[in-house]
Amino acid sequence: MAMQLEFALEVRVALGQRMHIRVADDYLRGAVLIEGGSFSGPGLQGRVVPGSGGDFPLVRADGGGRFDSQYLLETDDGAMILQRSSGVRHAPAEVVQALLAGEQVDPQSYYMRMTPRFEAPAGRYGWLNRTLFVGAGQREPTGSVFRYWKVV
Amino acid sequence: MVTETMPTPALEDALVLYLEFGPPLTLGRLATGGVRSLMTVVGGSVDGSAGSGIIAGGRETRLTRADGVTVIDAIYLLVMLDGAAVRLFGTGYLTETPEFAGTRMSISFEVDESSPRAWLATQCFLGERATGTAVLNVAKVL
Repeated sequence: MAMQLEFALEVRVALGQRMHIRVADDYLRGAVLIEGGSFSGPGLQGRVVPGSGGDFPLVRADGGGRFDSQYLLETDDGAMILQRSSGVRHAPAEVVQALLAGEQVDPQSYYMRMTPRFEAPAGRYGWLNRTLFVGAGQREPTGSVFRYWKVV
Repeated sequence: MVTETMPTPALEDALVLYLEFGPPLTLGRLATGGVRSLMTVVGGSVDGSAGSGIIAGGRETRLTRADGVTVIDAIYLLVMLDGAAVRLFGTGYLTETPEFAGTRMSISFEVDESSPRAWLATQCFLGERATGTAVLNVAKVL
């Protein structure tokens, strides 16, 4: 296998209130709006556009689940980039309880990985449109930190 | 910085799919942009730490945009030796770099939650298939 991971980007987001849609007993859709944030990596930095999207996790009864997020990044030189990400999170039950209670939890104690995709304007940021990424996440009491590595 | 405590992902070989493709089809140019083409998977086999089995079917579709980027989506159905069905979903890009030429995808699985392979549905995976080959290497993201 030829795939290698190379650090590309760190994104920090501030999260608003968490809402839930109880679709079925085994199907709970969460909705968390992104209030803002910032990002930086080699050749790439800027802000998370406030109000441009959110994270919509599918929460299982055991606390595991998938999440899908979508929001806009704006680079320091004015380029708008759409980020869509899907991923999974799972952890022992007590870790999930602490996370849901908004406590500070050791990010090594749970598995939170995602594969973000980007739509960026052609030119300086065009490489984002054709590059595969993998990321790790860390849940904080009032936000999340994501680090993305590009597959090279 | 709190991020210093964050895990750094690594890749670990998980599965190899030996695909048998049928004849390629081109659907044509889409009003929403790009040219859509399809490759049907008519069979094959799978082997790795998640077990062995056959590929019961599937399809890979490509959308080639005017900027030259080809977006790839794939869904394969695996049937393992114990009879359990596993669905594989992939989405990614055709990659052309000095290091690698071929398909690269992020991959997820659907599997019975009570099966010994339930872990497949709780992890992220990456896959790559070099141009001119029918072998998809799937790695687990640690």
